[in-house]
This record gives sequence, structure tokens and C-alpha cells, in this order.
Amino acid sequence: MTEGFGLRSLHPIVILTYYAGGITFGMLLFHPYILLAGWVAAVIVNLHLDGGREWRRWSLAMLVGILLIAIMNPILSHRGRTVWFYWGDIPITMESVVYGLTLAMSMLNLLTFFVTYRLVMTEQKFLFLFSRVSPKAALVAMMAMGLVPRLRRRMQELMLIQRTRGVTVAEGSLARRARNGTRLVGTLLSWTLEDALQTADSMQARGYGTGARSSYLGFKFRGRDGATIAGFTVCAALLLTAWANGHGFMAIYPRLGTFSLSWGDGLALAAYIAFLILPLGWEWRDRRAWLITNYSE
Amino acid sequence: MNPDNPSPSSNSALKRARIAKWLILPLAIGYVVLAYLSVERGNSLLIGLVLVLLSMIPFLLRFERKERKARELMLISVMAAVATVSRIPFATLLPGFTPVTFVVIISGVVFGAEAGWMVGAATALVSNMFLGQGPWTPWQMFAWGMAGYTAGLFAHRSSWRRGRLPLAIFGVAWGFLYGWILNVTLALDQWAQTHSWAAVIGKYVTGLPFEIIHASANLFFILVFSPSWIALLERYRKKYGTLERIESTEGERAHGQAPAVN
Repeated sequence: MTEGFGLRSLHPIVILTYYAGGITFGMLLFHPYILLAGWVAAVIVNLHLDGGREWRRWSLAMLVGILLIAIMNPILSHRGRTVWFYWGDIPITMESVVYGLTLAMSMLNLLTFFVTYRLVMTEQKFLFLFSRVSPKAALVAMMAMGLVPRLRRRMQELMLIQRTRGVTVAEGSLARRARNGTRLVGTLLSWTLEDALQTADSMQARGYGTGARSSYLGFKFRGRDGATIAGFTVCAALLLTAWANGHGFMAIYPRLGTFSLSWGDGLALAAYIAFLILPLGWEWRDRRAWLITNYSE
Repeated sequence: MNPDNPSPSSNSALKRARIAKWLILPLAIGYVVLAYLSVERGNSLLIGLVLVLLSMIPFLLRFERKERKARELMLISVMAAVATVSRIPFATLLPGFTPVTFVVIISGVVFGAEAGWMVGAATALVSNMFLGQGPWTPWQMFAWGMAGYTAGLFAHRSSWRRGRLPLAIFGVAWGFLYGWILNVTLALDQWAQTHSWAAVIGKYVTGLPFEIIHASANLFFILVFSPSWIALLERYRKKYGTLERIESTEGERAHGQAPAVN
């Protein structure tokens, strides 16, 4: 779907709050059930935003990463009372296995949530936010971002043309290929520098640096943004209260505690999921509005 | 913001920018407290991220405070974009064998420490916009930024240090340091779990093969290409008078930044 719809239509500040909060809470909470629920919520957000296309593209890499974490943890960490068995002379403890799985779950949760960041926080929104705080650095990042597709095209062109001269990264020894590759990058560099400086002169001529920069898109803080921020604040307050009272994480070391959720854990879970799902309300509302306006015609 | 009347809108933009800057302080304090409490409970995921993000503030402040010409900004973004794209031809070789760190280090050497930091940090941010942002982005920004920054400091002392061999040693060191910085999250977690150095070192040992590939990539690129790249960038720096390094005199600087007629 386009910008201006559901979660994507919110003000960049609200979106930043959403991602900052989601990541912070995902890191604060450490209980397999809560993290599992958070992962499910993140998947639901993914499905709403692009039907899960981007998420599926990443799932293999994420799976390999978290499997490595889950497997490495009991091998490296031998803490815990309950030894299951010895692998060689390395004791594998139940606590360490559970900790590894929880850590893997936490990573999976964070990464899945982050996939949606790329869909929602567009470059325009990013520039809008960071041109307030750090205008020059934001401009540098955005110019580099704009250059990349052009340089990619040029790189393909260079690779194609240089191949006719025998400069290729596809054959030869490793050293030779690496050498050719860097020659290509060097050519690209001098080609790009030449016209980038012309671009810079053009910017200078059009008055770069004479005043504060505005951004191309003006985002307005609307009623729905205020409502969403209020909702976030309530969820965050509930979650942090529960967390400050010692809920939301499981005692694993030295002896594995119980998996069951206390009332405080339940409150933390509910607040966390509500926080993650809250902006989807706009997604549903806008979808309904879209259907209704289409039918009434 | 209304484009028709620039002066009031730019004023309000400035005011809003000031508010945004002052909001960072209480937020930072809040996050440090939260991360500290989290560590107390044996969960170290947040503290590393918070500290890394805080470490960027002084660099950004310094970068913002100086008057910057459009050319300087453009040059930095070109270096960052080239570093990002330089991954493409090497995608078919060994994974991890890329000249990204090499490009960042050379930028630091030629354009100075501050520009080096900016190239490194922007490279991490921009390349992840294409490859996928994640919790690793701030760490990569930090690691590459520091690689560029220290390269500037390292080469600034004497021209001898811009030679192949000293830079090669520097590059190998950063090949390892980069991986170690990125591993800090998991190593901190090991420490919080077990309080044993053996586990932390074990974590680092498992990452060693990747670090060796990275270090050998840096070694190779610096040994073979650093003289030609430094010469090329040096030529552009002189020709267009951008990013004069600290040792250049004021007179030279004024001369260099006069609008070039080519």
C-alpha cells in the first residue's frame, strides 16, 4: 500500500517512537512466552504491511543466526545447576540451553520487528527527523543513499565493458579477481568524483548553506498521531511499572524458575503486545474506509 | 513548512531543531538508567546499544558545528556510496572479502579524522538501507566510524605512516577490531550469564575465522591499492580544495575554497 495509509501515514515522530519503544521493550523483557508473543505480533505487523514478502526474504538468514546462538550458548556457558549430559568433557546444563533458546527468541523477535522498519520509515521520513537534529549528517547520508543506485548502474556497465578487455571478477585466481574488482571500484570512484563535484557546485550556486533546510515533504502532526502517542504512553507506563516491580523476565540462573506467567508478567505481556499492535488500528480503520468509499460509488 | 515565506518558516524550523536537540538529553539519561537497571538484573542487551548510540553524539556535534561547503558534504557522500557499492563486484568471491573497510580507512587518511568518521558511519547506515537495517546498524556505524577516525589520526602524524606497510598493519588491526566490536553484544551477554572470561573468550574465538577473512581483505587491498587510491583522492582534494586537513594554513584554505573555475 502507499504512504498515507494506516501505519505508514503516521507522523515520523510517532513512527520513531514506535520503533524505539518496540526495540527497547524487546530488549528489556526476557521471558520465552512474552518474546514468542512479541514475535507473533511482529509477524502480524509484517503481514499487514506488505503481506510478509520482506519477512520471508529474510527468514532464512534470521533462522540460521538464531540457530547458531541457540546452539553456541550451552557450549560456551556452563552455568546452571541441572547438568543434562557431557559433550566430551563440556557439561551441557538445562539452564544454559533454556537461556540460549530465550536469547535466540529475543533476537528473532527484534529482527522480525526490524524488518517492518524498512517498510515504514522511508528515506523521506528519516531525513525529516534527522535534519532537525543533525542536518549536515542527515544530508550526507541521504546524498549517499541517492548515489547508490546510480553507482550500481555504472558498476554494472563498467563490469560489462571491462570484461571485453579481460578485466573480470568471474575467472582467474583469487588474487587476480580481487585485483580486477578493486580496479573496477577505482574507476568507478574517479568517474563519480568528477561529476559529484559538479553537483556540489550546482548546490552551492542554488544557495546551499544560506539558511535552515526545510524538507520536501511537510509532515503534519494530526489527531491520529496524538492519539497513537497517548496510547503508546499508556502501554509504556504499564509495561515499565510491571518491569520495575520485577516482572517480565524469567529467573534462569542459577536454577531454572517456573515458565508460568505471574500476573505482573501477564501485564507486561499485554502492554507489550498492545504497544506493538496499536498502530495496526489505523491500518484496519483505513482499510475499512477504503472499502466503504469504494462500495458507495 | 511553507515554501512561500522562507524567513518565518526557517525560523520556526530552527526553533524546532533546538527543541529536538534539548529533548535528547533527558531521553539519554532515561535510557542510561533503564539500561543500568537492566544490567542489574542480568540482561545486558540494552546497555551496549545505548552506549554506542551515545558515543556518536560528540562526533555528530563536531561535524555539525563547523561550516561545511557543499563540496565537502558531497565528497563524503561519494566515498560512502562507493564503499557501499564496492561490495557488488566482490559478492561472488569469499563472503566478507570486501574493500569497504579499505575505502573507509583511505578516506580517513586523505580527508582527515572527522571526515573519516563520517564516511564510515554513513557507509554503515546507507549500506544497511539496502541490505537491511537491524540492531547491528549502530554497532557497524561505530566500528567503521572509528576505523575512519583513527585512520585520520594515525596518518596525520607523519607522511611516513601513509606508506604501504604502516597502513597495512593498521588495516589488519581494524580487520580484527571491527569484528570484535560487533561481537560485544553477545560477549557482554556471555559475561552477564557466566561471569567467566573463558566464556567471553570462547565467544570471540568462534568469530575468529570471519575476522581473519576481513583482516586479510584489508591487508590485500591496502598493500596493492593504497598508493594509487591515496594519489587519486589527494589529487581531487587539491584540485577542488575540499576538506583541507588540519595542517594546511589559513591562507591555503581560503585560496582552496574560492569558487573553482576549473
